[in-house]
Order: sequence, then structure tokens, then C-alpha cells
Amino acid sequence: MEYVELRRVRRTLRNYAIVLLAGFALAAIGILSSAHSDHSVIGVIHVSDLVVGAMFGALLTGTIVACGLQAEWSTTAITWTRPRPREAIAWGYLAVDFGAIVAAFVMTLLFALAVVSLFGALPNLQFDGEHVLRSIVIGFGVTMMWYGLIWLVAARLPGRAPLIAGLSWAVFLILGGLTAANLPWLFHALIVALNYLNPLAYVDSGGSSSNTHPLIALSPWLRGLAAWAIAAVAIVASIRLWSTREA
Amino acid sequence: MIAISGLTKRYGDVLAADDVTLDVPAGSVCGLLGRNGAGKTTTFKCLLGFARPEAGTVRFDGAPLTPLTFARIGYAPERPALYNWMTVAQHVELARRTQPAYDEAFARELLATFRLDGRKKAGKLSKGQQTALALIVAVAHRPSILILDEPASGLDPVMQRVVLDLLIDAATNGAAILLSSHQIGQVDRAADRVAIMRDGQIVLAGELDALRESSRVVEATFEREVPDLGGLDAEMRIERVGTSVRAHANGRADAVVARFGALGALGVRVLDRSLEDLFLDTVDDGGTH
Repeated sequence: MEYVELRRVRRTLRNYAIVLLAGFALAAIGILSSAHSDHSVIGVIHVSDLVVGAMFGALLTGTIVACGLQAEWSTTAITWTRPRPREAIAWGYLAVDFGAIVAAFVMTLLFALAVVSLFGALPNLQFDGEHVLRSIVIGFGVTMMWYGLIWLVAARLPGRAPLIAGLSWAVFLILGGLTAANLPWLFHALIVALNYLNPLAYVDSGGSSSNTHPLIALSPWLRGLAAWAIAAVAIVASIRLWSTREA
Repeated sequence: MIAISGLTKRYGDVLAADDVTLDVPAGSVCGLLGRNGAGKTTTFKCLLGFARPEAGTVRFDGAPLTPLTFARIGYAPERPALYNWMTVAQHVELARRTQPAYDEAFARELLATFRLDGRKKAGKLSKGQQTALALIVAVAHRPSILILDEPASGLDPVMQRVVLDLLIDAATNGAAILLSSHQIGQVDRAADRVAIMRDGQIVLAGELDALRESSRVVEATFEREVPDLGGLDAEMRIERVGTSVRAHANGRADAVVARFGALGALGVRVLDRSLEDLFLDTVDDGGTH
């Protein structure tokens, strides 16, 4: 059954590549039309900052490909009549989707490097190993947490995965924003509690140049661990729902 | 062989399948008939593990359903379940990748028979072509158990005949086939046994020939009014119209003919009942349900 999901993610990645190429073309036109480019003005670029930026691509792709398994509700006559356990099918979809998320991350990172090279600023790149690793762990953790939460909610509401994925962006952004609002303490406490399930609350601006603080007040590695743990619980629970649900 | 025993499934207050018991032996085509909402699709869902019955068992060749059983099962639902954005060829490729016993030559033959263009997307196919494609995905691995919900829905008469021939061929090769259809003519042509459902229950089941035999009607005409039938009214359904009488003989046509003869009937004839007559008699509830 991974064949179907492979075709789905291939289409998603192709469309995403087109968007990136268009972005690169626009950047190239902008730079070529400007009088000069002086990379000494740009200053040091930490690789971890590029990694955090590339994580946005992975996150976007993750919320799109998360709809794949739940889209099978309309084709259970095919999906559930193959000689494989439903759990195995779901894990297969997860593997394909994770591959797509990694691919989107790599594509976005390459895009970012290409744009940096357009500015002639490749010499300004500085590899900050620990920050890069930390950003990757938290970034993929947040992406998989978001992915798992979409799976979990969509498993309860079959056929509505695209709607849930789309709304999740608004819900998580608003939920994060509400922590700064001047609310009565009870509501504030509720919002803070809900933010533990908000992937965006685990994110800071990431790299070594980060000067923002995440909403979840944990050390970076613990935040990464927490995001991965929530992702694992959500995914396992939704696979359980998927494999035991009646069609 | 498909063996269903005491299958019961409830949705809220509605008893969708009520103690359904049915056997479909290998080499047999069983037509499952019933009005909309009679419980056919629920029965199919329970058979395939799509729904969990409250009671009862289902066994395929003596064993309960497991994921591996699907290597021997072909299922086509009433509404074709296809990926509208995938081409016909990609659907066939999906069947190849997911069914170990996939028969490439057979799939190609079916594609040619149904005249399906491999490059066309499923969403662009006509309803009949979608039905055909769903059928190809269901049978390309030559399953020994076929569960088909309206397998010829939307097909033109020529293709309907092709599908029925396909089923008869499969049964001849030993497959156990359970199919539902509202087109009783199709069932009459393909099936050797039939089960009729009403309100979640199987109300009539058996070999088609035996059911026909037992459902014959004896019609007699008398010179004046119909005489006293001497207890026949209590034994079977009797319809009187003027000087004529029709007796639903319940497998005792010969005895009823003899009785009418003895009562002085001017003419007596035995009417074979079609499957449609049988079905209408069985499910008739005055249209209130």
C-alpha cells in the first residue's frame, strides 16, 4: 500500500520543488538586477539558522503528507483487503511520510544554500555543530509531533484530514499568541497548559543566533525529547484507532 | 468456502444483521438479495472485518479471517473505491504490488476485455468503467473467495454478461462467490443458490433449483365457484379469484394437482416461479418498510 502513499508524496514534493525553484528564480532576478552584492555586509551565517529555516519546509510538508493515511477512509475496500495487517500498512505510510519530510528538509536547506550562494555569501557560513544537531532534533520532533496530532484528530474524524491539517496552523498560531494576551489567570493557565500540546510552543528561533524563548520552559534537549515523546504517543494511539475502527 | 454462523450486528437500536447464517460452498455462486437496508452490506462488512459483529462467526475455508486471508479474497464494493487521481495502470500496479498471487496475464486480459485505457485517471472514467476497474483490482489475483456488492452496477449489458461469465468461470474453477445485486436477472443467470434478506434476517436460503421447485404455484379453474379445498387453506397460501384458485404448493405441486383433479377442476396447470417472483413474495411487506 506504500505505493499509493509514495505517489502522493512524490506529487507533494514535486509541487514543493516547483515553489522552491520559483522562489530561487525570484531571488536570482532580484540579486542580478541590483547593482552589487557585498558579502562582507552580510556577516556570519550560522548553519543552524539555515537548518531552522529548512525545518519550516519540513513542517509544511509534514502537515500535508499527514493527510495520506486518513485519506484511505474512502478506499478501505482496497486498503483493508490486502494481505497485510492494518497496523503494518499504517507504519508503512509513516515511513514513507517521514522520508518525504526529510526530503523536504533537504530540499529547503539546498534552496537556502543556493540563495546564500547567490549573495556570494558562502564564505560567511559557519558550521556550529551542537546548535545544528539541536535544531535538527527539535525541528523534526516538532514536525512529527504536529504530524502525529493531525493523525490522532483525523482518526477520530475520518475524511476530514485536510481540513484538520489546515486548521491546525491557525489553532497552533492563535494558541501560541494567546499566551501573551492579558487574560484572567484561569484562562491564562488553561492556555499555558494547552500549549504543551502545541508544537509551535516547543520552537525558538532556533540556531545559535537565537534570541527568542520558546513557550515551553524546558532545556532545548528536553524540549526535543518532549516533542518526540508526544509525537510517538499520538502516532501509536492513532494507529490503534486506525486499525480498530469500523468502516 | 464461506461459512457464516449466527452473525449479529447492531447499529444503535437498529439490528442490521440478525442471526445471519449462510454457507457458500466452493464452486458455488450465492446471490444475496434484499431490499435497500435489508442488511446485505452490513453482512459484507462483518465478513471482511470492516465491522465487528456482536455475535456470530465467519470462517473462510474453515479458518477465521486474518490479514493473510485477503490473499485469497477478492472484494468489490457497491460504490467503486478507487483513487481518482491515479491512472488505470497505476491501480493495476497497486494490485500487482499488494497481492502475492497477482496474475499479470489475467489482468491484461481483463483490461482488454473491458477496454480500459491504462493512461486514463480513475476519476475520468465513466461509472461503468470504474466498476470494471474496481473489479479488476478485486480479481486480478484469481481469488478463491469472491465477495461482490453489485458487481455489474453501471455496466452496459455486454459488459454485464462478461462479468457474469467471469463469475461463472471462477466458480467452475472452485471459487466460492457471494454476490449481491438488485438486478435479479443477473443473479438468476449466475447463481446456483440464493439467500434473501429482510430486516437483517435471512428469510429464505437454499439452492435455486430447489427453491423454485418448492415455490411452484398450481392454478385450477372450476366450472362454478371454487369448492371447499378440504384443509388446503390451512397448509398453504390460497388465492381465490372467481372460479379460479391459485395454491402456493410449498413443494407439493403434484399432490395439489391431484387434489384439484379430484375436486373436479376443469383445468389445472403448474406455474414455475421466477426468482423475481420468489424475491417479491419473500420481501413483500406491503411497501410499509
